[in-house]
Amino acid sequence: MTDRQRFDLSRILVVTGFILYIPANFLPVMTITITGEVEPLTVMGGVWELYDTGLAPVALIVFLASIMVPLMKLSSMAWILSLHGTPVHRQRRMALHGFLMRIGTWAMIDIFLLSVLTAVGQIGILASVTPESGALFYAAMLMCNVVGTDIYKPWLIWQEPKVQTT
Amino acid sequence: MNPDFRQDDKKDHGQVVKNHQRTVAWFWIFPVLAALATAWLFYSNWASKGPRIEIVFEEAPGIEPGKTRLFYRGVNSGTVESVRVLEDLKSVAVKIRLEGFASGLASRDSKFWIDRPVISVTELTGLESIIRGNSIQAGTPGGEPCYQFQGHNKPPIISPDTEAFSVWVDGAEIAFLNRGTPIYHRGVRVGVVSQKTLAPDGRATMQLSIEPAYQSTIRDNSRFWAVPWTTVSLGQGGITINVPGVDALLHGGLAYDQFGNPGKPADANARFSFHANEAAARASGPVLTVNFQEARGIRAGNTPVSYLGHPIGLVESLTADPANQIVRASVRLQPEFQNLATASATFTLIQPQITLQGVANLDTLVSGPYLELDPGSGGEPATQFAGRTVSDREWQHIRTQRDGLRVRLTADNLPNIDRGSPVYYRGVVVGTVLEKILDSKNKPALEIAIRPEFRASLASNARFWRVPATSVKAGPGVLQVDIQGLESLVNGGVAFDVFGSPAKTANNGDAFRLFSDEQTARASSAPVRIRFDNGRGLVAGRSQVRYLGVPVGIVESVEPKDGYIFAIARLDEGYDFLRREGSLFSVVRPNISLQGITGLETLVSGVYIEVVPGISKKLADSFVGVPTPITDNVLPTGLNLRLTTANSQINIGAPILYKGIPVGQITEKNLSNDGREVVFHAVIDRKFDQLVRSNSCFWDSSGLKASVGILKFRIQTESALAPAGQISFATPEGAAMGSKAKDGDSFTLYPTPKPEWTNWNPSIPED
Repeated sequence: MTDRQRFDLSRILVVTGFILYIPANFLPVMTITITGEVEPLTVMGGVWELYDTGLAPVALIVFLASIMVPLMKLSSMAWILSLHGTPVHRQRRMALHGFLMRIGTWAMIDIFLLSVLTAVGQIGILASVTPESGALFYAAMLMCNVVGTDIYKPWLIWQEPKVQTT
Repeated sequence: MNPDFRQDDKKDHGQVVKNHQRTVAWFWIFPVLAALATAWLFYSNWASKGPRIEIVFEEAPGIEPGKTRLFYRGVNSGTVESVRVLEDLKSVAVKIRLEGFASGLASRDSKFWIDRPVISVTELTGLESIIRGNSIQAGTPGGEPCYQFQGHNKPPIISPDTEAFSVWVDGAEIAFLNRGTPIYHRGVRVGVVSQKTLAPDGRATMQLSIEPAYQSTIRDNSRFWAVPWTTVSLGQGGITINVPGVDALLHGGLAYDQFGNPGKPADANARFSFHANEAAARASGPVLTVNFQEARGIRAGNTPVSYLGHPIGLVESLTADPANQIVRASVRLQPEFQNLATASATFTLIQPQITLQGVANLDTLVSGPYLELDPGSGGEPATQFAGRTVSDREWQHIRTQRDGLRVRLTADNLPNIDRGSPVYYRGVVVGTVLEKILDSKNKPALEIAIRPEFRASLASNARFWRVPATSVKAGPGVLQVDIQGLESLVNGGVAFDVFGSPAKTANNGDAFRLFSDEQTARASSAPVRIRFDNGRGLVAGRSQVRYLGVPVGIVESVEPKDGYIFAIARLDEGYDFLRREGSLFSVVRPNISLQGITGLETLVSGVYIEVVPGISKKLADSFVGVPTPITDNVLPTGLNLRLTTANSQINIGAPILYKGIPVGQITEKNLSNDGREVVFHAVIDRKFDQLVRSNSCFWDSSGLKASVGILKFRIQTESALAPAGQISFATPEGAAMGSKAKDGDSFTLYPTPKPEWTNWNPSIPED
């Protein structure tokens, strides 16, 4: 794969990630049925739910981890890619990319948790958790994020911008 | 490598661009796909939404926007978007976004109700909403599109979609049946009551949903009645509790059937009338009107009509007619008994009776009053009848009057007996007193009737007497309280019996004499007139005549006349020998004297007349009573002697002693015809009559009491204390002994004995 392809693919995946971010956050990711009460939850709905039940710190964590972090990752990646071929902030981009790569390991934690919840949370009539289509979009968004970050190698930051200028 | 690259780049500029463009085209698949997927998702999400509808409920408990679903046939068909209270604060509007596939629910006929758990004695529905939370349910869509609905508070009782056959049942009052009450036809459950409301005319009305399969069982002459959840019948077999079914146990049931020929199948939404019970429903004949003067106890819809004790109909309604002062009862009979309602039929209201006359119709205490239908002798069918309000007894009375043997009883007075008093024959009520009248001779008379089945018991020589309300018979050691019955306790009655052999049966219109009591009635002979010096204690109609202690007659009247008391007594049949001339009548009173205590029993039984029959063959009607009772050891048929003396202190009752042993008694003390002598009538006990010889000597031994008494005979001492004095006699010994004295012999009573008399000690042979 050429550098150019890496760059393009990364860009496209980031754009795709942004697109997928919308349904991932607007569609319910799971349906929790607790004692007959059917509750389809979007990610944000889950945050509110936690907040409403008085778990504000947890709500904040979930909000940050599930909503802000993917967005920040996408935005960061977009920023890195937008400066592709320019000499500006190369050090910072390197650091940010490295950071993104490191936290990317944990990107799928939400989906993992959801799958665990789905598997464990089948308590017959009392409670059940089923994943919804939103989760698929969410996972796809995360995939785009992770792959987009991974495919854009650090050295590309250091490439000369000639290619684009000429 | 980099410089080369750059050079290559310069050289192959067009190629690079071309590659670049190709690369771009391939990679951009991803965002396009993502965008497409997202767009499609949003579109399909939007497209799956049906129209918004608004439902107005009285209340919307547990309805939450965004969460509460609308279910149609159990399928999630929409979501509540908003709930708000309407401006008038009287209802709430719920906005629901239907699912796309359910947009047909937005149609005019749709019904919406809030499904919530109902746990009551009679209902158990909406259990899933306990778990799922309340939801809104929809049903019966159809008609033009509509987006505003009025919600129902309660779920429909049967699935609103099945096309149930619906009929209506109206009644003035429909108790305890309710929505959900099962409907039975011959025990098969065919539907439920789907609605119970008030009709515009104010009557209770119920809509019945009958399963279509059973639609044909409803005929236009079907009659509906309530099946109570339990029937408790109290009968002779004990208490029967009948529970039709478990669900009927909860809320009763409604049953229907047609009686008689099935009619045409009923139309949908046909109207039927409601009957409170099966008896009411069964009484499906045409309405008969019975006019009562008084309808106390008749209950509309409840009072049965019975024929020979068998229920055949029911009083349907009662209407008072103030103008004519009657109450009209609308009665329906079961069709099969309709033919009893003829022109000659009568309706009689039978009621429980606890009166002084007695307790009657106790069964009606449990079953309630009823109308007895007497079909009479037949005739044309009729619809108007005169109702009678009489007791069963009076009904019996009426029947007796109509069919019974009627005779007339006359008496001097008739206390305590009135219309309806019973007539007893050997303790059995065989008839009743119809009327109490004054006859042509201004004497009270009773018209009585003997029930037809007892006609034969009234012989023409029967004797009637009044049954006392209560009779207390008391004798020595015996106190007998005789109560003929509760009824006669107050009113008494009339009894009759035949003493002796019965003659032929009495005829209608025969007249009888009514005696005041059984004693008098039994004492059927001609009256006996007894003269007493002293009538103290004799009570007319009460004091008895006794022979050897057995009552044989009764004193009918006591009347003073010429300084004497005349007691008119009657003797029972078969005691004519007591009327012989010479019979002794004496009044027995309690007597406590030095001689002894006698007649103690009269303290309880009352004074009575003791009779000792005479020996003459001739009968007499008039007697002179003996003041002092004849002692028991003087047998009535003793040897009668006359004792004459110039003067004597001896009195009636004085004993006659032989060797100090009483063997006879003075029964009469009179002056001789010429007035020169006192004549005693003495009776010697038959056991001892051989002691009296033609030459026996009698003397007044009263004077010996001081000198002889204590020294010789102790018993004589006691006898000497007799206030009447005493007489002794002696008989010569050996050859000097004369022949046996004969009845009526006369002797001289000497004031003192000659000395040799006391030494006589004859050996007298037994006869």
